[in-house]
Amino acid sequence: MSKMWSAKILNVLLPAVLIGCSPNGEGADQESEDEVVLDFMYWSSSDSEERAFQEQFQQFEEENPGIKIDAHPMPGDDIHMQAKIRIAADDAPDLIRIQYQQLGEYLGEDALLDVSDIYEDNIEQFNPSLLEAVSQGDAIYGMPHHTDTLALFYNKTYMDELGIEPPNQIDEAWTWEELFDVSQQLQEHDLANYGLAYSWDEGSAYRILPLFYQNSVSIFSNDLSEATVNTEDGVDTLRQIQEMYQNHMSVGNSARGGDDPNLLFTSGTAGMLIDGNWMIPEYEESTEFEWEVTFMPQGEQSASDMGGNAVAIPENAPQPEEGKKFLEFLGEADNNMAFAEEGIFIPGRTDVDDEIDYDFDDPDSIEAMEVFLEQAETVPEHMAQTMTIPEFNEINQVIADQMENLLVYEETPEDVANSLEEEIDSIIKD
Amino acid sequence: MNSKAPTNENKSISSTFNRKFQSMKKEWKETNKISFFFLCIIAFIFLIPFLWMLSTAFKTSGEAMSGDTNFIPRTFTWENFQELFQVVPYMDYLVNSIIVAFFAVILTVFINLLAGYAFAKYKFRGRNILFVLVLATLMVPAHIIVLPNFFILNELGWINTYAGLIIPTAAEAFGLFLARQYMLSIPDEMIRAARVDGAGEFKIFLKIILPNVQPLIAILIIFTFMFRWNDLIYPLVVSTDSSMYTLPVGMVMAEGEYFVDWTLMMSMTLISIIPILIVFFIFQRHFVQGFANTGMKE
Amino acid sequence: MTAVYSWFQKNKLRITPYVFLTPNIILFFTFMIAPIIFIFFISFHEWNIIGDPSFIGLSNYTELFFDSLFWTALGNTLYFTIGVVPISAALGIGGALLLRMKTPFRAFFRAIFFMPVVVSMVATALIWVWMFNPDFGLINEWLGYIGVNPDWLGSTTLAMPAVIIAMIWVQAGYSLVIYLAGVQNVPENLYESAQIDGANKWQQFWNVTLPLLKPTTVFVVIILVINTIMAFDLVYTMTSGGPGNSTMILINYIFRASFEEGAMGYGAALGVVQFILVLAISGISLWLGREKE
Repeated sequence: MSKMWSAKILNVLLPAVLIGCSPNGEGADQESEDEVVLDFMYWSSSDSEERAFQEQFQQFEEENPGIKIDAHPMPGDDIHMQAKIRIAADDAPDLIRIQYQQLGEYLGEDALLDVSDIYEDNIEQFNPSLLEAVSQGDAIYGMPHHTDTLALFYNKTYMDELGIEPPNQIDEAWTWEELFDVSQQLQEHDLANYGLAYSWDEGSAYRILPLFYQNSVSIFSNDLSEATVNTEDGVDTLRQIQEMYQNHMSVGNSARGGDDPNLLFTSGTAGMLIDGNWMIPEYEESTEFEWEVTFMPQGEQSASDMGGNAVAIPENAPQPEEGKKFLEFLGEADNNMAFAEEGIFIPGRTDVDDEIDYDFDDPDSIEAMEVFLEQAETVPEHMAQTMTIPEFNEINQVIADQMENLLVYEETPEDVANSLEEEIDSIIKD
Repeated sequence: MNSKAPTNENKSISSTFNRKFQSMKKEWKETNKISFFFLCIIAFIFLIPFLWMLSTAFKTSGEAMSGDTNFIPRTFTWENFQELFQVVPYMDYLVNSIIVAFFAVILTVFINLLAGYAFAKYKFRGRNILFVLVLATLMVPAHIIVLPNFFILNELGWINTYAGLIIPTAAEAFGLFLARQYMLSIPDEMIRAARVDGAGEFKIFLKIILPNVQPLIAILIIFTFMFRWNDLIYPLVVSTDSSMYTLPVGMVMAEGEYFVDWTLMMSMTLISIIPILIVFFIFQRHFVQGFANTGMKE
Repeated sequence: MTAVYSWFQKNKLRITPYVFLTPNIILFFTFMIAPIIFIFFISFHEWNIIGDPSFIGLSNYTELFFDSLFWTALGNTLYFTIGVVPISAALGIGGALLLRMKTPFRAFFRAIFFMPVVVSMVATALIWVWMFNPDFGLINEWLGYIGVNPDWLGSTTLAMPAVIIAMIWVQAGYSLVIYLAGVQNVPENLYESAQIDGANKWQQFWNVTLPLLKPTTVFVVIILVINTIMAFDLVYTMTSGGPGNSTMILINYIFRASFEEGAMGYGAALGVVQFILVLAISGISLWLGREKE
């Protein structure tokens, strides 16, 4: 990346008076010389996640005297924008937490530091799909910190009333028809206004993709060269999504709608909710009814979403060596496990799976977490690959827009399949 | 609202009260009943959202989600606020907001008065072009220029500083426009007379002009304060460090990404608007007078 | 030294205004004009913020014509503006005339009407999202008594009216205060003479009040139009442009293109177009307002 061409242009435009006010040299740090302060951009979407991060910081600072972590949570929506701006302004933070889906944009511009050297003998201990997501060619550009997935939360009080017992084996997971039937009963018996809620929004419209994979549809071909969504199965999947929304979900629960899916569920307005493992501790606190988790409904096969985040170092970070130390720290078995236990995540390392002991207030939540752990194995490998292409952000936008056309504007599944195919092609065939 | 308190302390309280009552009675007789009736209705409609927020802020989560429409909470609770103060370092943000708003008001009001005076009362080359340029900046979408602004501030080393939060948006067109319009109504003779007496230009501004534009100053204070107190996008970009967050930024940051609890949200909204409402009620008397003299005479 | 001083004394009136304007000029130039030039420059480039920009000439501008979302956003902006501005202005003028009559608690009423203006757009948006909540919001609870339960923010037809209502709540007070000032400048004796001429209240309003308030109206309309077109925070917090693209106004599309889709160059071009649009609307309003003076 060429250095700061933007700043150079603006330099010309700036009146000399103001330049006079600027401190000499770049990044005039007020910190004392012998202490390194690492600026870490991250977000927390729950209290437990925040606690998990704080514990990691504390532990790291104890082990590494002389390095401090200066970290402040920000909303996930803003972090991506601000990280990009800061990298462009050459005021990059030392470390950034990045969603796997956002990684491609950074990798495409070589904006992240190659950190392959922090992996030595431990490389096989990491989840290969996640490792793949943070790699480009032979080089690795980050730490696959953790992953999450989606499964089905349900209101147990309602289910008991209907005498329904949701499946507890993954191969017995409901089909979508079965789910729709349960939803129908919930609505007919006036238990819930809506059978189902789906946790997604514009930025995470890709969470609908597992439904395609369940019907063996992938949105691109294997070599990622063209869209492959406009097939008979693709159209069927879209029809199924349309039915799900029209008959079982609240109008405001489209990807860009105004409803908050969590609120729909916790208030009892929706009887079931597709959401991620990180929500378990929140529901422990905020629901007044009993709830449990079962597997994502299945189609021809089961599939669920690959969520989670990596931590990476910008290519122009001011203190890359210390940053790497922190990455290494996050990847150590004990720390990676402790983070997952506190934050209720699926760790990036696979060698800690057996020992992991989640920190729940309610011991019953462990069963819920076990569902997620099992569900995580159904994440399609192909999906993991496609998510980190540089254009994924644009593709996600297309998915969001087309889902709105399908659900809100009630376009036919055939038309939507057509537009999806066309728009995705126009992005990747560039 | 009747602020004329009796000055003579010897009067007994009851007679004061009586007088007041008499004057109210007289006032009511002269009242245009229909317009009063309409005003009451409109005022009520305008107040409803505030009242609903206020009542939700003191309800328990369960009651708020019960679908009842009572404005007075059945179980009155402070818990939402306690929980909020645990999550959000409200006082820190409040202090930042006050520092930023205070200095921004002083700076902005002063330079707007100066510039408004220059535009209104001097003839100089480029006056009209400059004025039109200034007005045109009102139409620039702020959300797009934050990006180059970040680069500039970064060059200046002003990211995460009070200077960066206060100075860049101190020049703003709306206040300057109001100041210029208001100053037009100042009689030229007054300035000429002062010049004849040998007063310097800056002294005229300080000693003659400023004392005559107090309603304008009140308006500028309200608007600047309002604009700074509520501004979100700019401080959001300038402060990358939470120790520099202002109240709105802190609030947005604290709003859980995935989780919404409406009682918490409404208590958060409530405490974020209390300071600005206080400032507003202090200065609002001057409002109409200030606007009246901006006189819309181009 | 004395030569300089006497030169200064002689040219005092010519120099002083520039001195008085200096702080403003420096700040405007640095934090407004320079960024605008930058945005204009970048609008001829393809740029995703982290990488290097590549020059593509007018492509961003020509792309606009074929971008259906741009036209949707433009249409929505128009809908939003037409929904908000006339009603807010009418409420303002009506309120101002009511407050001109003799009634108690005038200052109190005025304060109530202006209160929404001082509250931040984010707070306003949150309050109204909660008001419009389909399950527990006040509006639907009340509408429930007549048996309807619309999902305001979830519906492509109702979301825009809902956002418009919230915006009117804010803007009405704004226009009211400006009109209050304008109404004060209407001399009382004009009404008296109109009354002698036998004009009824409505004719008085139409023939006396309104024409005299024309300059105020021009000012109010320009300010309201600008506020409405710039209402990013409100729309972003209430609906972020959805459902579908039914509430996507231009400024939200600019933000989305620039930062969320990573097409900063295209976003910049959209920004330039919006700027020209607002400039044109304001120019037209001024021209219409001035014509008959």
